[in-house]
Formats: sequence, structure tokens, C-alpha cells
Amino acid sequence: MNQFVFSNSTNVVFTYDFIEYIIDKLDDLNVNNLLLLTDEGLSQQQLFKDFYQSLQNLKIPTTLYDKVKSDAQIAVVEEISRLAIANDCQLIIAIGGGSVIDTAKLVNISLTHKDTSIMNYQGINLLESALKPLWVIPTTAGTGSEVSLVAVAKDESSNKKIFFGSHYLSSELAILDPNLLVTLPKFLTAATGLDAVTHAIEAYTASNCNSPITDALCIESLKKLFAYLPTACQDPSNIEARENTLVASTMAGIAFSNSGVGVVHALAHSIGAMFNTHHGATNAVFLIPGIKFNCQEASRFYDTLSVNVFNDKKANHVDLITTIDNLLNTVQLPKSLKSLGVPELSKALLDELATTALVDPSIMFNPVELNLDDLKQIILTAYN
Amino acid sequence: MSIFKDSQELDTVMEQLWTKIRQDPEMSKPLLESKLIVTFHYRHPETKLTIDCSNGEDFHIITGENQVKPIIELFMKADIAHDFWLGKVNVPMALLSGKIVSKGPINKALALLPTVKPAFKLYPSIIKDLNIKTHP
Ligand SMILES: NC(=O)c1ccc[n+]([C@@H]2O[C@H](COP(=O)([O-])OP(=O)(O)OC[C@H]3O[C@@H](n4cnc5c(N)ncnc54)[C@H](O)[C@@H]3O)[C@@H](O)[C@H]2O)c1
Ligand SMILES: [Fe+2]
Repeated sequence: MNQFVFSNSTNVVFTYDFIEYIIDKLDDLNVNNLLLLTDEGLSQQQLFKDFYQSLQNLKIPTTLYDKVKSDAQIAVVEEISRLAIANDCQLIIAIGGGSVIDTAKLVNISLTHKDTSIMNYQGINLLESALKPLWVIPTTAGTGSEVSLVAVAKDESSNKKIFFGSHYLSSELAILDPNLLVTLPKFLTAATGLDAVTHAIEAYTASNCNSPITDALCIESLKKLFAYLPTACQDPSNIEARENTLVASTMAGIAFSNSGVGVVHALAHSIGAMFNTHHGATNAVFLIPGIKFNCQEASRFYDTLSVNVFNDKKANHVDLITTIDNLLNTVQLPKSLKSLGVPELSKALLDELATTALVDPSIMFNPVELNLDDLKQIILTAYN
Repeated sequence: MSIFKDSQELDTVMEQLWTKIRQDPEMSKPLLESKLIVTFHYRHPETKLTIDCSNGEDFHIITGENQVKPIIELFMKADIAHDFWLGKVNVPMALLSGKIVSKGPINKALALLPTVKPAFKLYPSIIKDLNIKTHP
């Protein structure tokens, strides 16, 4: 067994009424100004409008920013930070998918340090003290960002992902309410669901850092995702499917925060930054090619995962691959980079994408070491 | 107790190690091509080491305080550095558990790792020649 440290500093609350939960909690606190973050799609949803109205009824001064862009963009983080610092916000509440949550985590760094130059904090374990309280309400299931220790931003000038990681970055409170997810369209339900599937598989097979605790989270998470993701896609208002996929994604988030991800994420970060493809959908494309590559040397990890997930002593990695393939068909996600909309790759572009993936932090957790040619091969395999 | 008796001893070890890295084209060529400037901040004992490859032609090994602005900075106990050069550190775990702190683009720090791996073979003889007592 690996020597390991396991931690989760986020309080996780599951509720069918996030508004009541938050209003009740705020009632007990003396918050002078709160920063409420979301994106334009979500601010039009009735549940968000109800929540905002309830905050106004409570007469808590609220700074609303509802124009968070897809993927945490540095310029947007800086714009919100200026606003939050000027208004001396004391609590951040973020409602949204990974883009809103990651943006909120980065704004929290700037707000706490009263410093809008977020790039000064780029790094791992760099923060030295607690940030302001951050409450997050995920509306996708998902990224796991509501419990993770990392935030991934996009630098528009270089088309590269920028990584921030710290125990202080994680939210104080994650509130899971499946009712928020019923408006999530089919493609995004499937794509974010496959992000969670990828987290669970990569966190389990991250053989340098996994532990029996992360393994248990991954197994249970995958069981739920395989069982409920098809229903969540086909019947969006099925609360049983929504709650199970939501909790599963949080479990996978806690797991990967403690054991890491792998080559699938490294490649998805590289492609996503270059072509603006959706993070989860890009993981979905690389998942089977990534597993197949790793299975050449490390199939044993995927075999034990399969035995546990399928409750079948005879199951092995082939069953896992078949199940993922069937799932991709059922939820109708693109299975190649080409069908995801990635243009034909020149040799130079292929080199650049593989080089970026080779130094992506996710790759250090992969159970098998890869070189540039391995990565190029996986990209080419995933292309068609 | 630390492996190194004081900052001076640690400086000497790191200077010798990086001089050997500089002399080995297998390692120095990719470092110079990367134009990287990296500063290592060590504690117990405390010292600072900067490797400056920014002009692409020659690389500078600077111990102690200096005015060079690094692209990446790595902070760790000197004993972690010692274990690292012996090839004994699980780097992902050290990052997850907070034993190594990195500032700046983490991908550039990670690119450094495979480049300097051949130095793992050089390090034990430096320690031995300087007669530094290591506990098992
Ligand atoms: N920090 C981490 O641990 C971590 C992990 C994985 C991914 N990420 C990041 O998360 C981002 C992706 O997040 P995401 O996949 O959740 O998507 P997203 O946050 O980018 O949202 C995608 C779209 O879905 C819409 N949407 C979200 N919830 C909705 C709902 N309930 N109903 C209707 N529409 C809804 C949004 O308005 C948006 O238009 C990427 O930037 C990725 O890098 C972070
Ligand atoms: Fe992810």
C-alpha cells in the first residue's frame, strides 16, 4: 500500500432545498457583503432568480456578477476581483459548473490578499493561510471542483491552462441540490458525467498516490455513474438519477484531490485550451484510448477496478472498456476528436499538443510513464 | 536532524552537483534550450540556489541572495532535496502532501524533472566525497 495522507476540508451538505439551507445559515451569520457568482445561462434559471430574491429579502448587501465565462479566464477573474475588493466582500457564494466554481476560487485568492494580480499566486501549495469563506453550489455533475483543491484557469494569450493548487483553495461548504440539475441539457449532462467517470477511473489507477480510502470513493462513484448517467440524460427531471450522479461526482472529486488524475486529463487540458472543447466531452474522447494505452503495462489496476465495480470476480479491463463504450453510445457523446470539432492536426500542431500534455501536472499521477511519441500516438488514435 | 550540518555544506553539495549537470550536454543542452530560471529555497539549513539558463548559451549557478527574477521557485526542506537527488522522492505525493511548494508555472517545473534525472547517478558520489554522513 502507498504511504498516504487523506484530507477533505470541505463540508458537504446534501439537500433538496439549497435556498432554505443557505438563507437559514446566513440568518445566523453577520455578513455585511457577499459576492454572488454565476454565469449568464444560469442567471436566467428560475431557481437562481428565487435564490437572488431570497437574499434581497434578507437585506444582505450582495454584489452579483453573472457573466462568468466558460473556463476560468484570467481577465474575468481580475475584473471580478476588482469589484469584490472595492465592495469589501466577506463571503463568496458560487452557483454553477466548474467554470464558475474555479473562477470563484481564484477570485477568493485575490479578494483575501487584496491583490488583483492572480498570476502571482500561480503554483502548488503556495498559499500560506486560509482564504475568505467560499460556499459553492454545483449545477453540473461534474467536475468535483466543489471539493477539489485545484483551480484550472485559461490564459487567453497563450492558449494554455494555468494551474493553482492548495488546501486553502477548497471551498468551506459545498451544497448539493439535485433540483438545480434538471435544467442541464443532455449534452452537458453527458459530458460533465464523463468528466466524473474519468475522475473516478484516473483517481483509482493513480497508483503512486491512491489509497484504500480513495479507492472506495472511486468504486462507489463509478457504480452510481454507470447506473444513473443514462437516465439523467434521457429523463432530465429524474431526481433519483440527478442526485446519484451529483453525489458520485463529489465523491470522485474528493478522490482525485487525494490521489490525482492521469493522462486522459493531461490530453484533455491540452486540447481544451487549444480548441475550446468542453472539458468533460474531451475527457470522454480520450478515456478509452488512454485506458488502452495504460493497460499495455498496468492492466492490473483496471482489472481490480472492474472486479469491484461490476461485483464480478471474473471481470477485467475489457469489461470496463466495453461499459464505457456502451455508455458513450447511450449518452450520444462524440467518440473522436474529429466529431468533437477539432480540425485536422498538422505535424507541428500535433507536436505542440503532445508537448503541452507531457508537462501537464495531471500526467505525473498516471500509472505508466509516457513520452512524446506515446502522447502523439494517443492523440492520433483519438482523432478518428 | 538534517543531513546537512549547515548552509555552507548544502551550498557546496548543490554547487558541485549543478556543475556536473552543466558539464553534461545530455542535461545542460535541454536546460539551456528551455531558458529556464529556477530558484530553490531550502530550509533546515536555510539557503537559496538559482540556476539561470536564460541566455541560452551558458548557465549560471548562483548560491545565496541574488537579483535574478526566477520563472519558477521551489521550496522544500533540504532533506527532501537530498532524498530527491537520491531518486527517493515520490514527487506527486510530495506535492499532494505539501512537502514541496512550487511557485510559477508548474508545467515548467515538471519539465525539469526528466531532464535532471541522470544526475541521480552523480549525487551519491558527491555526498561520499564530501564525507557527509547520511542516516539510513
Ligand atoms: N477545479 C477542478 O477540480 C476541476 C476539475 C475538472 C474540471 N474543471 C474545470 O471545470 C470547467 C468545466 O465545468 P463544467 O463542465 O461544469 O461546465 P461549465 O461550468 O463550463 O458550464 C457549461 C455550460 O453549462 C451551463 N450550465 C451549468 N449548469 C447548468 C444547469 N444546471 N442548467 C442549465 N445550464 C447549466 C452553463 O451556463 C454553461 O453555459 C473547465 O474549466 C474545467 O477546467 C475543474
Ligand atoms: Fe476533470
